[in-house]
Amino acid sequence: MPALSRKNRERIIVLQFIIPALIVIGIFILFPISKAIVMAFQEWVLTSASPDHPFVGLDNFREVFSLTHFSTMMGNTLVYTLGSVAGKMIVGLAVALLLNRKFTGRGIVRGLMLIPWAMPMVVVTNVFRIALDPNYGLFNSMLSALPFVDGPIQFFSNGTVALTTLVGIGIWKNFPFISLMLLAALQSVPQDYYDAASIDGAGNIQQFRRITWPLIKPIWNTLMILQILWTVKEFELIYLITQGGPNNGTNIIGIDIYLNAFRFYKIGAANAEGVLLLLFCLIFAVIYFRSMHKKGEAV
Amino acid sequence: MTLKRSLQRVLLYSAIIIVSILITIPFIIMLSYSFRASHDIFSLEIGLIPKNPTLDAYRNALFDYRFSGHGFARWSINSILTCGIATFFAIFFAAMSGYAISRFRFTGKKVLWFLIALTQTIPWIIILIPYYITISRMGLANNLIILGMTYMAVFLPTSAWLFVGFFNNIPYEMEEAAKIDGCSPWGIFFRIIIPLSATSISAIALVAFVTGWGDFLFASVFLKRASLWTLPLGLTSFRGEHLIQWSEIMAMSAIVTVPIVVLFIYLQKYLVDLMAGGVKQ
Repeated sequence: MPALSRKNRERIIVLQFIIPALIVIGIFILFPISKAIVMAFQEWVLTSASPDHPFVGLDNFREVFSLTHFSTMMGNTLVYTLGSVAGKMIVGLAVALLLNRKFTGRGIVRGLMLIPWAMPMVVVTNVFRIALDPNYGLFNSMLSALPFVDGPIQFFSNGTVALTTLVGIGIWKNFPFISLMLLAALQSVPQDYYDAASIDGAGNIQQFRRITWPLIKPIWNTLMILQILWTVKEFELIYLITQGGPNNGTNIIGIDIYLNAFRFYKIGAANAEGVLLLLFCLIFAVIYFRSMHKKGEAV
Repeated sequence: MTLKRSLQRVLLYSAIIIVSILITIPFIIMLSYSFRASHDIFSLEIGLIPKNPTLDAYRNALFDYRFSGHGFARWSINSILTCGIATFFAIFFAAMSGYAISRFRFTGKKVLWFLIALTQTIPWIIILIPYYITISRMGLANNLIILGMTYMAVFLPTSAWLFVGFFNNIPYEMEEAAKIDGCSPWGIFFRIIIPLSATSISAIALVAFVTGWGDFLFASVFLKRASLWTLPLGLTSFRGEHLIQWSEIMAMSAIVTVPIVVLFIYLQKYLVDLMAGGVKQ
């Protein structure tokens, strides 16, 4: 056997390192995605005996658009994503700035920030379901004790109130992650910058606008894109509390796909919705990938 | 001036106290319910601190509660084995590919990197439908091995992404020296890189493990038999009852949550550095 050239030997080593990941991603991710896209254009009636699924063009998409709750669902998805992402980013930044100041017990508070991040979603939803219960909820009873609250609040019986509550829970679960990431960025800002600015007489707000913000903005942008991608597909938080109800009031696209596929067995429609969601995510993934490259670090 | 300063301090500390309460209150509520007897729950005169604290709910949740004949013991073994084995393989493969992306030049690297970034953004629900149809036709639904393999695929991209960020921050000198001494890339990987990064690897493994530990989406679709359930399914099984056993649910939730919270706090520095390294890329 002839000796391999140096270049080929290197290629083989690289291949050895990446081949398991390639196989796993190929079988478990790329193959199902391509199948989902194909399925969106096929007829899928689980009850019919015929094993082949004829192509039906855009019929599945037409079915989705003609769903009576389609516009409600899309509206909810938009409101939920915007509200939740805006809330997480703003609260996240505010708390990061707060924790960036020097105070006794800072390490403890930073440790506490990991609790919402570490709590499994199933647990979070159970806790809020009971804590917000109008008849015996602990949180509700604490709220009722406040002077301006008139009796227990029905958190999940009205669509708008329920959606707002879910946005709030989503913010609670995720803002600590944002804060910790922004805090890591804030702490890499050299103290000299602030000292110099103070000498020049710049106030707090001016220091934030001129020094802090420009330095953390790239990370803020990346975090926001990631949050949009993670929030638009929210499933467990909503499904485990309201299952999309009352009256589709909290039905967002992730919920609708799950319900269509696994409760109503409208496989075609579910896949068509999946393709719509996938398109949306791809657009943001490309933006994310580009912003990663523009900074020219990584690869 | 001093008045203004002390006023600022007061404002700062009140803000910090409010934030701390907001962050922890659901966790405290969980613990608060878990130490109550069931009949102590159903009233609006409920207070945060239980009047007659008891461990009954923990005993019930751990030993007595059954759904179709199965309970906590079975579900925790299922969860630990499925997520543990999946985490092991995912971390191993992710470290290898992350190392290759960080250290080697090769054609198709950008494509691989884009694939990893992409799979992080893909909503899993889209994959779930074709996946479920395929495995149920092959008669593989209700199978923990298949669920474990799926978890491995779910954990891998995020872990690889974190590994790339992490390896990029490790200086290259030591490997250079080993290379000159005639160490092969695999030798460098196993004898230098892996031992050097043990703590960070455990932090990445924790993130992966927790993804599966809390997963409801895949488990709810894959596992129909209570004997195969993982803990998240067990936690949602109390619902069929006429009177929900909230203190038992909260006790089981606490058992599921507290170890994770402790590990997160223990590894916090590494977790935050890794995540920040990933986001910065």
